[in-house]
Amino acid sequence: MSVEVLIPHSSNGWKVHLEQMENLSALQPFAAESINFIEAFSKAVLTDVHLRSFPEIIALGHWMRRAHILEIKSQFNAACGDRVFLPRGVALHFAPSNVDSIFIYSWFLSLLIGNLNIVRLSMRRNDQLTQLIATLNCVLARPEFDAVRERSLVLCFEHDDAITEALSAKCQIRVLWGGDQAISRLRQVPLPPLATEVVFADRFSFSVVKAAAVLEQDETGFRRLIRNFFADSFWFDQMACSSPRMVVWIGAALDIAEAKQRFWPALKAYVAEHSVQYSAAVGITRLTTMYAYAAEGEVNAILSAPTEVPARAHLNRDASRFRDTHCGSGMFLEREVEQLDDFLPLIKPKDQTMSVFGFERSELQKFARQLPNRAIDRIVALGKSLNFSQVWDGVDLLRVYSRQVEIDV
Amino acid sequence: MQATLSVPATPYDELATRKRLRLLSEVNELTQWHAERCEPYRRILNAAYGGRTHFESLEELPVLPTQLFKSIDLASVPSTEIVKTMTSSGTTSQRPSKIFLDKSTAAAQTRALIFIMRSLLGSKRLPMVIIDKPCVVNQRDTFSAQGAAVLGFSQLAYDHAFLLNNAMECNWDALQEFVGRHKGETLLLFGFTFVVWQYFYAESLKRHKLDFSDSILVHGGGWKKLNDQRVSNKEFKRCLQELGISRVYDYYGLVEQTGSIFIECEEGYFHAPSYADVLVRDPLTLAPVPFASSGLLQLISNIPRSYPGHVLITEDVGVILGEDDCPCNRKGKYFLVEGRLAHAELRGCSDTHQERI
Repeated sequence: MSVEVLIPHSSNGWKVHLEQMENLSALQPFAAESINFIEAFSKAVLTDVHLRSFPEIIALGHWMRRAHILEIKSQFNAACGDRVFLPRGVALHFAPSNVDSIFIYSWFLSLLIGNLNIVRLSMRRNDQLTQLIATLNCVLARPEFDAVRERSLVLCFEHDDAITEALSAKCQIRVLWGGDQAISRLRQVPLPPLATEVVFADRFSFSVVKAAAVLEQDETGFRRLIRNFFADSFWFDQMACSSPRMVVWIGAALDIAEAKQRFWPALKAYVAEHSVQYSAAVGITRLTTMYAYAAEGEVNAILSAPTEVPARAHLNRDASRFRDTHCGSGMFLEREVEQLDDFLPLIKPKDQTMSVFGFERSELQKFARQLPNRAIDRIVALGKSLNFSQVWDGVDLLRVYSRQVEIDV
Repeated sequence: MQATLSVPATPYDELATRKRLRLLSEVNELTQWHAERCEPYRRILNAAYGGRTHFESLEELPVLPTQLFKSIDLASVPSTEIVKTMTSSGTTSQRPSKIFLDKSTAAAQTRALIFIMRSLLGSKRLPMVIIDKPCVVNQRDTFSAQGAAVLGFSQLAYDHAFLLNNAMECNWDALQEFVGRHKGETLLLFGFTFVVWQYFYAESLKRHKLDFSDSILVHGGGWKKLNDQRVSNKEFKRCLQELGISRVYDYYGLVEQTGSIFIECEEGYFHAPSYADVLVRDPLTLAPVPFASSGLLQLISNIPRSYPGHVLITEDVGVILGEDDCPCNRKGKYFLVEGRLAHAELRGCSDTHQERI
């Protein structure tokens, strides 16, 4: 079993770093060095020619800008009032594989609160991740960020319960991001009695589109709709938890038919323009997934060649199991209802982000109040599905990464 | 309705025009048969083919991806009639393929295999060396693809010996005794390509030379591991012929279509027998491509009746070189298998494509 130390850049083994961290105190919430470090990293990312070609990294870069971080700080402080919040101590983050930027959001929010952070990355690494790590090390090497560097440890190892246990023994909070199987396995590993855990498991997301609103759009508005839908679904190959995988059309049958006829060919052309191409193996996986849906009675009509992008299939009225086996990569399941409220009974606990088009805020607030247990943690305008927010899966990360000291005097 | 099972005893005689018509009508009948008996299959036809069961050409036939047998159970007979379940090794993250056999499908598989092999070996049964471990056939009603092949092929033999014990150790002395006992006879050696190379050929180099003159080796299972070691089919053949094994035949087949296998001819090409056919499709669009173009292999077999595996698209890449005109004189299409589709990784946070986060 081997553990690679990605951050900090050093030749010491992970155990040495772990021991060193144990003797360090946490930083103050929103300490100047934390904010400065995040700002410096943001600048490094946004000026990196290589990283600039990845839209999700650009989004991360903007999220980390000083002005935005200060906004997060003032919101947090306003919500806290005169109550005292402190870091918990050591936070141990297990990052999801391949949604490359999540580990940074998780780590940096925890850093802003003042925690020391250990991050485990999966063995899978691509160009942008390698580049991100190199840039992080480069910024952390500056003497003014010593305090942050000493309090950060990013490791890479194959899942190994012994290593997970050794790391877990040192943490006050464990943060798990990932697929359901991986999460179940990680949760078996014990935590110290005083530590707590927060879990972000696999979720399902979809778009809800008012057909009449699609038909009302002028050319500019319609182009924007297509661009936003494309960004939401294709940036992470439709594999992020918040990528829409189902489209729920709302309206009268005729409007829906017409809206689909306007929407799908335009999306197909947009996909082709942006030279999205999946490998043949991905096409076969999509074919298999669609046929499995059909065989199980989840899907009653396959509306395009399954190897085509976008690939489309129509859901049966009572379908619900499709959420667990969706393969991403440009496959869209469709269903229609007349009114937004008609869709309520079809919502499941696994549903996370509902990206909407054509609805008023007040309609959505009324809808949100009727949501069943656990289902839907975000309702966002189409185009914002992948935006990271410090409230994730219904959890305010800054709050959960900190502890409140009650003063009752 | 009874779907007819035509298993002519001569697998390589029929000319293209006749074969196409015959096979199409048999396979149309099978599609209808499965649509009536396998609800999941019928639902697929409804969703993807507008419920049609009759098609005008082999190219149009509704085709299932082999992966589908890894994700769902598909059977066209009541579970009480299933006598064997065959499984294929999946990758670690997937469950294996499950293929359900009833008595008549299992019998038809055996018949097809025997007819194909007799055309190579003659009708006389031969003493057979199985280059594998005995436990590969030990389970009663669940079979690995390996076990099924070993059992199928051993029906062509009258006496047999396993070369390996269950710990995969070579029992060369027993082999020596077996070869001695059958001196002067043609031996049939059978095993998986990689096992033959790693356990039989490698061991033979360390041992006293045995007389394998006139022996026939039939092997299959794919070249991935040997290609990793940079051993080509040509090199493999040359090495085994040096041991005196004069005839070496590779075969290609799917656990989903056991029986109607594709045997390598003397020219080095796989041949479609009367019970099966092969088409090649563009890997991205799945449109049929002409002979001499590479693409995904689609395999058609007239044998599967207890499960809807009669028309399958594989993830194997290959090329058809011609039909009815192979210099080996066998009729039917002949082709090469070039490899497997590379599995690109998709990003994301769900487990679907992942073994680990």
